[in-house]
Amino acid sequence: MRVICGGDSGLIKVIDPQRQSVLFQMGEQGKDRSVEFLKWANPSSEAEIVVGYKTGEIEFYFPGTGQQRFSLTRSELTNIQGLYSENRGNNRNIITCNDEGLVEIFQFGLNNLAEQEEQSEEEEAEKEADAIKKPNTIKLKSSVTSFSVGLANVSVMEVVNLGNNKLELAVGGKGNLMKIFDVETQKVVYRAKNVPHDYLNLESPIWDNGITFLGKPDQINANLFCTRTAYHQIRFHDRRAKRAPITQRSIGDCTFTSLIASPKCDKEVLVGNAIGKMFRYNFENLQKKTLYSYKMMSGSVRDIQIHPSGEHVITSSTDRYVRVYDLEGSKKPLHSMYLVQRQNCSLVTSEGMNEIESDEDDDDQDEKDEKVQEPEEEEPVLDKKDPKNQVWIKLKKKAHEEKLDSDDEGDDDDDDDDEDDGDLDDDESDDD
Amino acid sequence: MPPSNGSSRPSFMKKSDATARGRNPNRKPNLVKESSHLLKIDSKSIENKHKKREVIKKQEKLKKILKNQARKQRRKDGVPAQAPITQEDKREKDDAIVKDEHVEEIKEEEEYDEFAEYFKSDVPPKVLITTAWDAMLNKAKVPGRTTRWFIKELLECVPNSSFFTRRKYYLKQIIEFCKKKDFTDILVVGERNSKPYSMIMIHLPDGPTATFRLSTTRTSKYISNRAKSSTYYPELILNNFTTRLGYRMARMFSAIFPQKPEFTGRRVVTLHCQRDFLFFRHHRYEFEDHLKSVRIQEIGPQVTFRLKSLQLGTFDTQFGEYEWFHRKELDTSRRRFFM
Repeated sequence: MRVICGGDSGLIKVIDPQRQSVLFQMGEQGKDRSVEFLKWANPSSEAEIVVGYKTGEIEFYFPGTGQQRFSLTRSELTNIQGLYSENRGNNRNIITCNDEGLVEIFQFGLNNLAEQEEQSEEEEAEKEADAIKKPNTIKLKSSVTSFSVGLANVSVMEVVNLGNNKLELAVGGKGNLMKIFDVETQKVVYRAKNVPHDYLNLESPIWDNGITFLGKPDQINANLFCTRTAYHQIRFHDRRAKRAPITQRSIGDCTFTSLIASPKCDKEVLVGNAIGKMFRYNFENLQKKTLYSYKMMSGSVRDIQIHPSGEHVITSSTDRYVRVYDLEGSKKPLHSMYLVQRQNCSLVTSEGMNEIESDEDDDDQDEKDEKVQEPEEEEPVLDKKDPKNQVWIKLKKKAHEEKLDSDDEGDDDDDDDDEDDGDLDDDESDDD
Repeated sequence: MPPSNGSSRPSFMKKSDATARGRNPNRKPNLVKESSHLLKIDSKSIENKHKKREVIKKQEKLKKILKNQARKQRRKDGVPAQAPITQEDKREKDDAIVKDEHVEEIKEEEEYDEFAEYFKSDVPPKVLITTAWDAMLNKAKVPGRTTRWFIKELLECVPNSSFFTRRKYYLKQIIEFCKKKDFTDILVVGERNSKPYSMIMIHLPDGPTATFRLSTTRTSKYISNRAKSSTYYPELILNNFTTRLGYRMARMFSAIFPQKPEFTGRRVVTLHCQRDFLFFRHHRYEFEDHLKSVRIQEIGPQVTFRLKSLQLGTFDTQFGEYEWFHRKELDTSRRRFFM
């Protein structure tokens, strides 16, 4: 299993938490250059990643080799609150959302990129050999489509793929309730409503910080989703039923900083705190009063990711550790790795826990196999004077005799065995 | 603990001379032998409770004296002393301890830190000291006697600092006022039972806030043979900060004092970190005998800090994110330390 971690000052590291080793390190450190978003460039394959920084740059990397592919610049991309990218044929679509509610969709072709890369390689071969190879930078001219969401403040944006090239966009912010848009028609599909007034008849304050769509990662159900607020509440919505949330629960004292749907059940959710607590909450099980909480984190939980097999949970927190937990089991981490930066986001590859073997490990294992084979060929030496071993020795003798019938070799050994067995048999008869 | 000049007792509490009581000052103590009759008695066989206790007490006394005699004999023979085993030696293995591999990354990160602006400029720091707000009474309590004394000593210790009473302002309002008037740090001293109990340290404009618990605060009244403070800029000594969190706290404390110390003033402030406790001491020193030996004299308050939480950004308990927050479940063993 490989984890790609983005830090608070601009470094991206590819690590193996079981072996506690850093495989690659990408990016540079800079002022205010924290990694805000880390996603797969094409959600169906795991070959390329998109990185969104706080300064407004977007870069593409190959996590398998650690090289940078290209980067995008545009002077008006600031305060990005959401990022999504996918491949459609030979084009790449990128959807971003601004702090003030402006959604922009960029589209550029990948074939042109390949030609540009080849040209640049030829040019550089002509130049001096010591020159550092710079990655391509593409300047985005203008967006293909842009529309404003109509909210004054946007804190989060999430995109869902419903199949058949149909995308839906969910947006929420401070003082603004959630809305879901259809990307092609740019119209509102669903508008949420607030919770009814509390027992003092006061309106409960609104600040939506995060959204997930529930269901297993292969079968996402776009009708059920869950939001977390900055006032330590989780709200569960069902689109088919009604606009207001069905249930709401407030846990603890501190704001929530991360949320993800759990793979076990359609109505379960994992939530992370600003202090370092992480809970697993089930909307249906109202009788159970104890929450399942994960332990040993001392900084705020910035990101939670789930391994595609559904067994492991990976958290990145501001106390500079990346931890791997079991979804159900002991509440303490299986592996924890110290990375020098404050961790912001992470991504998991779909390989299993023990599957990666580097070249060095292969050599060691071959040597070990050879050594193991040698002692097994020798037969164990038995104590002939022990009365317990009598039966085994007699069976061996029979096996030897059967062998002798087939082979005519090894007469000397047989004579020795016969003499010894004869002595022991006499002793036994005397005792009886 | 750094020793003060002379003995640790004040002069009116010294032991009286032995000659005044009629004893011989050159008397040698009796040698205890292992074959003394008291040690041969088997205390378990005595059935009388009171007699048993007497015998056991006397035996323990003799055993102690024997042990000391044996140790002195060993030193005479030339057997070297063993190094003492402390809790620090048995400290749990920690990944966060700064090693040579991490130093480059940390240096680069500190260039773009929240403190980088202060350390690159030449402006001396400007510190504001206030007291805490009482949430139960919903007003600012008048600080008690010991806290007032403690704040007075702090004002002498930290150069370029000033004290303002907390009237009816919330901390977020105070932070806005300070940003307009170019303050660099805020210290808020909280009290409990009319004694200083907690402290909040905020670095402006965007810096982290740290909350501490003060365990012992001794003002100069209780320090024997103390000296008076001066207005020269002091020298800073930061001891024994090993982990990344420790480095960050050391940087935060060094942002309160001005960067260029004046050595003619001969004034030192030390921060010693041991087992997650921060010891704050303030001394005046003098070299003698052509720089071969030093004499020190203590000034000012003695404080021990314990870090409770480190929050990113200025003071905001409702929506703020914590870099480190102490909880009881993190104390898994007595050998685990975070700084």
